Amino acid sequence: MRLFGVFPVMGRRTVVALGVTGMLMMSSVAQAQEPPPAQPAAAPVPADPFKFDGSSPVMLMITVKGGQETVFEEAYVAIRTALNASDKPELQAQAKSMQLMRLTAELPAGQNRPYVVFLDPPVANQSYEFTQLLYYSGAWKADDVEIRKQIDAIFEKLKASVAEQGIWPLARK
Amino acid sequence: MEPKMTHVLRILALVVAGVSPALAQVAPPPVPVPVTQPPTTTTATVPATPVIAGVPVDYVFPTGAGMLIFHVDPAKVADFDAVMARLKDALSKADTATRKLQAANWLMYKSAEKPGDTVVYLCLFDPAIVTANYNPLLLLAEVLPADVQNVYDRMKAAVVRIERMGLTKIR
Repeated sequence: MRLFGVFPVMGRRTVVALGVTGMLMMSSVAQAQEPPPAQPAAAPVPADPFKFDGSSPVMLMITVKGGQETVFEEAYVAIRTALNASDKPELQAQAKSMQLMRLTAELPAGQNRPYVVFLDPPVANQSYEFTQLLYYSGAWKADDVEIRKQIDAIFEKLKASVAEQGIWPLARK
Repeated sequence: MEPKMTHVLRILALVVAGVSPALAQVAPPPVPVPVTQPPTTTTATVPATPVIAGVPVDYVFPTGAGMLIFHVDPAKVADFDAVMARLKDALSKADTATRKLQAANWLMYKSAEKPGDTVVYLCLFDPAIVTANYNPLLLLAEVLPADVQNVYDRMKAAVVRIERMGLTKIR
């Protein structure tokens, strides 16, 4: 018994926190709550933290507001579906890389739920930021009025559901 | 959409503090991200996970995917690397298809962030065999029985703690 008794996994209560522990090591970026700008200003554009060089894996941690899981998943699946349906190989590759996984543990009502996405590897120089994916990736014809309404509806779902996002750079072992 | 930068770490540290003092003691690595939102404190309880008879539940992933997070003593990283590499190699050469499949779908990562008190490794099981046990020591005992005590001693010295995250894939 010595062999296996001294090396326990942490208790189940910790499991919830853990959704979390990963995030203890992560840089983080809050879910943007502002609609996309109509026109970029002349000021320098900050680097997109969701754009990677593709040389190493990255884990994205997305924290979703309690009770909004379905809303978020619908939006996420809609993005993946559109990317996958694109005729651009880089967007198809991006869709393939964006496998979403939800923390399984049941949580108290209203508590935020972590999701993770392992990008192994991320598609180089393609942004994984939701606004970029929706409005600028080319997966949709964002300048079409009717399509724009569809994209806006997805954006609203994300805005309503995503609490925070984090980026955890990893090295493959 | 211009993202606001925030500091998940502090929020999470408080969440952890509510359930695990050991975790709360771990200082997060330096992250060049300003705090723009106050952290919130929450606590959590988790109902029982479905139990598979005879298998310790903590290392089983009945939802078909999961992750173990190993916090490793920075001075013992070489030992940990060696043991895990040995385990994976032994699993891939095991007699049973289950163990081979476990090895094939066992993805291992190391945090690229600057280490804090520990070096963090992620073991992602995707997909996980829903009835299989991913307890590394149990597996070592099975596939490397002759060396298990030595390997166990090295693992015990290297690993500060392990955490589990059951995952469900969203299609």
